[in-house]
Amino acid sequence: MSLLKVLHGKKHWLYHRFSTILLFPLILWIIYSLSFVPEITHENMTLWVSKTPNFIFLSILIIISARHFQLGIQVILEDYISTIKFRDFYIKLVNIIYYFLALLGLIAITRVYFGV
Amino acid sequence: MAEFTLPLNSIVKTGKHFRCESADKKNIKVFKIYRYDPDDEKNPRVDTYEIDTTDCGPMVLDALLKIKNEIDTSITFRRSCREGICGSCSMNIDGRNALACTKSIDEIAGDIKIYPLPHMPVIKDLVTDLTDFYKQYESVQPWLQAEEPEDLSSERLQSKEELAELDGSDECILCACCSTSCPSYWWNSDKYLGPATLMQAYRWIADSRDERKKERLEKLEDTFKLYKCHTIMNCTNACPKGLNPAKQIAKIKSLIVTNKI
Repeated sequence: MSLLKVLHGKKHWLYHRFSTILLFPLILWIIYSLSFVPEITHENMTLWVSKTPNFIFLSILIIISARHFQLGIQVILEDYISTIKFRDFYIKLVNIIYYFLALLGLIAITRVYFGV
Repeated sequence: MAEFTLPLNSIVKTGKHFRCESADKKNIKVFKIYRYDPDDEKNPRVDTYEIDTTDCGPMVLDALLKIKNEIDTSITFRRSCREGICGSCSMNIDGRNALACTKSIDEIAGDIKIYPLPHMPVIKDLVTDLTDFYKQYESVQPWLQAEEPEDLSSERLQSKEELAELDGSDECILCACCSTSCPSYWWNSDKYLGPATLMQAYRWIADSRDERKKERLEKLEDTFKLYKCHTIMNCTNACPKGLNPAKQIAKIKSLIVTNKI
């Protein structure tokens, strides 16, 4: 249930900013790294993900971006949904969706990395 | 949930047109002013007034006074000092919140549209209900909180540097131009304190003589009270005194995180 934890106030603000700062070099890295892939094909991308540094950085990128987007959507929901029970429900729902998507992404690249 | 439709009685209709036949056309300035009277149970309307600028003061407030004195005595608005100190005549002029007394007529090209402060309950015409705004201001306890000194013979002194910390926040005249220009305040004005109140909160946090800084910061550490500021910067853009409430809000956030106090 800790995954469903909704951050508020100072913690939310800090996590959102830290995730932004961390995403900046990671986005630059992925653009730089992918620029060396000759063509975006399934074969080339499988080869790219199976390299250990790429696998590690991509995993970090997936986790941080999922949390960053979840925190951003939470702000929008807090802004525009005034009914507290609806607001809390949608924030938790978004939490679950983003963690689920992050988990799916991690499972997918892990399978590629280990050649499963 | 959010409301995406407005009630029918909120639709603004076209009102009366008061022409100025006597003046030269090139000297005529047209004012389109929002009118609403809760007593007649009619929709709000926009009345049009033509003013001879050669026979009127230079500011928007001068034109409003001329309209009230000479054309339509029913028009209602707040005003007092007429020199940008009291903050009474804050209204939306030509799409921007401003003080009518410091806004020059010549600054505005074309017709001058005057509306009440946005997203506030309208009492009548250009007069908005600022009750909640003042309650929010009261909630940050905008007064010095400190233990009584043992020696009552001297004043609570500040150095020039300590006094300089208050620059940019203690000049606020509470006209509400900033808060009512903030989209975040529009959506959550019942929970978000808004730029004006937060800037006043910072004014007391930054005061070297105050002894309740930690408690003040703890009270502000709330998702809605403080963190609904999304750094949109409309407040800074709107402030008729040239202050920067967004910067002071950022300072509060910074102080809470670093817990320097």
